[in-house]
Amino acid sequence: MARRVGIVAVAQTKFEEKPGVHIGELLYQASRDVMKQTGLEFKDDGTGIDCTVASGYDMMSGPGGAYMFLGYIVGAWQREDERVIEDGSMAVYYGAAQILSGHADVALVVGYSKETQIDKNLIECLSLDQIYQRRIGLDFVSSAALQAMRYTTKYGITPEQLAKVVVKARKNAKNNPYAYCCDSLSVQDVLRSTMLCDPIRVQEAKPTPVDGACALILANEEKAKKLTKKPVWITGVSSCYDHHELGYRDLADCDSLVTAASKAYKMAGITNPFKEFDVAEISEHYSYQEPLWYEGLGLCGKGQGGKLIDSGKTQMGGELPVNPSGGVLSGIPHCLAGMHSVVECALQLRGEAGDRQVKGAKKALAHGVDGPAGQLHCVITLEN
Amino acid sequence: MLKKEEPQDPSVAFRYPRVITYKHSLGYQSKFAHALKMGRIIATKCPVDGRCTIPPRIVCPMHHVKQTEWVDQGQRGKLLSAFKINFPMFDSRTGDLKSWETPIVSIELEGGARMDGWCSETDTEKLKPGMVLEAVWRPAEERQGRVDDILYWKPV
Ligand SMILES: [Zn+2]
Repeated sequence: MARRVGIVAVAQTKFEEKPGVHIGELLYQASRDVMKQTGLEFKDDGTGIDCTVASGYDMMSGPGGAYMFLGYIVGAWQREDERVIEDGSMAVYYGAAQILSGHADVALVVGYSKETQIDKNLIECLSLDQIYQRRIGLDFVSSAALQAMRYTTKYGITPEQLAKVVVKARKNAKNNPYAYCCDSLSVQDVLRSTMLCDPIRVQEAKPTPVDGACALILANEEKAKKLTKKPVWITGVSSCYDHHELGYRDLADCDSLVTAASKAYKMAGITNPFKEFDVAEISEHYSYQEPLWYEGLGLCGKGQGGKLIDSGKTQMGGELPVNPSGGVLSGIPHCLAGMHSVVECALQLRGEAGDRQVKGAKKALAHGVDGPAGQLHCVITLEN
Repeated sequence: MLKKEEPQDPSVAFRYPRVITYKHSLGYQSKFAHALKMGRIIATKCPVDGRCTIPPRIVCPMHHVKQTEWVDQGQRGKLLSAFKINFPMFDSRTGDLKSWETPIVSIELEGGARMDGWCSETDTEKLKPGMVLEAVWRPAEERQGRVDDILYWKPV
């Protein structure tokens, strides 16, 4: 990258059901936190925050959440204030682009999710093709089930391997004070849990509903160095969309993730991701996605994701700990997951990840996903 | 390829009957909802310039300072503008198309905050900016802490 984008502050709320908390309060909490850390306010003279990028899916939460509340909550009123209605990682990408282009020096990136306000399957169903798929009853869960079946069948991934993903997530979440679910689960507990959508069991799916918010402040190199002693640099970023129609893809593979990752790695000069990264935060909404995304991210070969889980190399203390935070499977809400991945990676690279810290982490991999069966992937590489 | 004589439907109609229930968290706004049940209109006040806002806000939209003070807005206000919808419009409460006899009015309350509502005067010619309107409430036992607890605004 010709210019460098630095993350100078990150914040997150506790992830939990917050039926008594207004969206505005969630946004205020997270955005005020990063503004306090940096001492930055919105300014018109180039000495403060220049613009905002916000993610949040209005239909999922009821009000035009981002549109109605964000401007005045964070002080972005009558200023540039962009919206991303996709995974939160795309808002980070957009914020970085604002700075890389020279359009802004300092950007506030915020995201929220308020799953307690709606039965999200009702809305997700509307994301599918209106003529050919909706009437079949497809939504994100059933699309994932189709992908899980195809992936595990093609590559012989076992239910035990997938259960280990959940066990790892919940074990890691115990070290994360912000996590929603950190119950001790065994492989047998996961395998005995109720079938949600064959072959996905209840414990193999993202717990829901969960509410929360995240915020980051991004700055250009010069300002980042002044704003913090511990800037975290965004070294590579890319996203890629696959076909929306499930039948156009081989769901056993995730070609759009391969493309997004290879572009981000090229930008960052990463040639051997498994060896070079010290920590990764990957958005797995279902257990099968973690090994499948490993493959797409080039952390192992095609069909080798299950073996990588078995090897224990992605556990805490392993060669490349994946999701020390507990990740989405411990309850990070929809739309916020990828932004949360970046926040967690930044904490790791600042050495501020508390009990979930990967010692001496220098390079981190953050990933976000959206759409049915991983249609959109966003990959962000970070360095301290 | 389709032969010319084969039918080519220009569109297909699907209905999506469903009930979408949002459980909107009120948070700090629950004070406002509770006041409505009591037959009162309250607003948050900016500590910088004293301006009151409805919907109530956690921070002042203009000065970005936290608003903690609540101020009673009274039962009367001045008409700012009024209009009538002259075509069938959705009633967001029922999902049905209906014709709207009552004009929608924007009012500046005695306490300074502005809010919208319906007006009992159906002849918009008689609605002049600056005229005083008064809130007419549902019976106390029917109020649910929603803005339509105010049935309509009546010229004084
Ligand atoms: Zn003010």
